[in-house]
Amino acid sequence: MPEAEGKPRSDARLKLLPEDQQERIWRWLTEDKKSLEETAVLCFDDLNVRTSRTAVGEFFKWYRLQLRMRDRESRVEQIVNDLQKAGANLSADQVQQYGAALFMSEAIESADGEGFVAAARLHLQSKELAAKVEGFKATYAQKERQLELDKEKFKASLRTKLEAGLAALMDEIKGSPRALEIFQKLQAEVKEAEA
Amino acid sequence: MTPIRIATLVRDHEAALAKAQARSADQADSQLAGRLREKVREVLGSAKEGRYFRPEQLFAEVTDLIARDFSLEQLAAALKWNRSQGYVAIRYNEEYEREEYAITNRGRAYDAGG
Repeated sequence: MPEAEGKPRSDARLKLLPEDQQERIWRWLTEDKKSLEETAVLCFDDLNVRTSRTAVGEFFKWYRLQLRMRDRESRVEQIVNDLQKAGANLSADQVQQYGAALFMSEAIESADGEGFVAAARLHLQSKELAAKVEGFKATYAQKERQLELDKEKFKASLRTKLEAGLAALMDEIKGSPRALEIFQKLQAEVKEAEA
Repeated sequence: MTPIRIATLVRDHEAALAKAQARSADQADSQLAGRLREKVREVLGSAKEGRYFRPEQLFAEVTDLIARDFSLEQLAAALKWNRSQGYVAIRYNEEYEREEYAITNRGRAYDAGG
């Protein structure tokens, strides 16, 4: 059944009360151990809010959820503060990211905040280390590429010099069949060596 | 009254009873679906903006509010409906291979009666 847009919920009355009044209702139920019916009567007598046993029950569960979430958020805040104090130097983005991850984490429910800070610091350090390793790898790869390039250049220049030397020698021995024969052998040796 | 007439009456009565039970079960299912949709938003809306919930976290909190048994499929249907209305945002976390859920501004406005 689709819900109508903007329709006020029947149990919303108590949830829309000012915070101090909500706290009073919560205390009636928890500290004063009033029943749902008694609390509904108190709401009418003390707060002038007409409500029912069911609505008070709904409010109780809703308010408990709000307290749990507030507690969770304050733990998140505490851990992020501890991390900053421990020298994590988190940026605003990292604070947001860590806050969101911590909010979802099961560890946030345990009292072991210090352990979490230590684990988070380790995580951060390992990420920094991984980034450094990646940086080093990239520099190394670039150096290797440069070295390959230099080797190619050296080979090319050597080839050019050899060819120039052979051409000069060819001019010298023109007209001497014996010298030409030796020269052709030398040329074949050089080709073989290059291959 | 003949035995055949009695048997017919019994059969008709049983059929009517089964129909009524089915209708009642349908109504209960429909009510539960409506409550689940509402409670999903209530849980997600209790967190501050930008906070997402793990599936098991959402399931546990909704169970606490609703105080009734429901299946993961029913919860998924409630999430799907809220998403279709733009009240709930769903994202996929590849690192943990799971869906995560948050309330949208539209979802908050809806529950605030605006």
